[in-house]
Amino acid sequence: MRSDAAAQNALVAAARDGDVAAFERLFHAHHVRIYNLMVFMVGDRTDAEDLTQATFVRAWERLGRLRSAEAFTVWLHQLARNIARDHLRSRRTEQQRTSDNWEQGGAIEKADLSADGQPEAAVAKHETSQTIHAAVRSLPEHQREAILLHHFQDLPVEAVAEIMGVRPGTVLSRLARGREALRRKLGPLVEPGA
Amino acid sequence: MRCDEARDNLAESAVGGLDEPTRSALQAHLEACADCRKEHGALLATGRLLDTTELLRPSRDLWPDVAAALRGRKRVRAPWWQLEWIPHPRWAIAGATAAAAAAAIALALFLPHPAHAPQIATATDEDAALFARWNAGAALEGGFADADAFAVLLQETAAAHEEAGNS
Repeated sequence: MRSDAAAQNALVAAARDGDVAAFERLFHAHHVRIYNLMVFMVGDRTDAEDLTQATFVRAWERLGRLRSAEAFTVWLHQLARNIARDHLRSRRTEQQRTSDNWEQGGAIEKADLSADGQPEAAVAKHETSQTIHAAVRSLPEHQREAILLHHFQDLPVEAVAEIMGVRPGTVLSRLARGREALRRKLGPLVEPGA
Repeated sequence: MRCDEARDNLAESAVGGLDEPTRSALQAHLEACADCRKEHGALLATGRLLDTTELLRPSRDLWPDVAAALRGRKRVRAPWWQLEWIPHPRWAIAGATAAAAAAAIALALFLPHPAHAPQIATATDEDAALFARWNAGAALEGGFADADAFAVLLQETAAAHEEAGNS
């Protein structure tokens, strides 16, 4: 949407000039997606919350280095990806945790479950989401990242390629391999007539 | 296209990664093969499922901590050459190189050149006068004329004549 893009560009320009209120609106527009990227990259929801916050603090510090407001979304995802990778590198040097913190807080908030007033349908949807999340988590890193950025973050292939530092053809290939793997893992959920 | 070839291309087709000839061949196969069509449908359904999967939500409001961290935080104001915005750095480097080359050529073409080469100073000591005389003689004999040497020779000849006249 062009008007959405123009509005975001205006917010980025204002935030770059030190407007915290504008930056807060950018935060609320993007933090859930950045949080999901973190969760699926680091596999720990508490760490993902901390890393999401760290991403926005770093974005605030470095916003002055961003020339083009149009590049904000891709730039923010690149920052988040780098922070997640740094975290994973430092964590590998520590003692490996015996279990991750994936289920803490539940995959979907309770408020979401009752939002449409149909608890059974909501529970079924919740279970489906958990199944999909688990399947995505089990993918190899490159496929998981491509799937996350393209399907969960709604980013076009070209933007995913820019974030991952690869050619669009490579992204398509990773998406295809990931799609095959997920189709096998999700089995009955994606059979025709399911 | 056979089934085994089709199966190799189903996932690429589902993500929009096939070239046109392969896509057309696969489409023709899918119209004739129910098994491959079913598998292709499952791959497309996987994509739709991913697109509509609900996002996870943080367990708490993350903004207050971010807002607190921003207070007094030093912000980076980078000089223009460090801006993180150039989408295609290789093009930018190529452009800068071309601009620098064009500027160098323009300077070479349009900067004012010295009107004349530096003049050779007239010999003032005896050794220089001897050299000039020798050079003038060689030039006369060999047909090569060194204007400065001639000038020195004529100057000295005139001076010698003047001295002889005075004496």
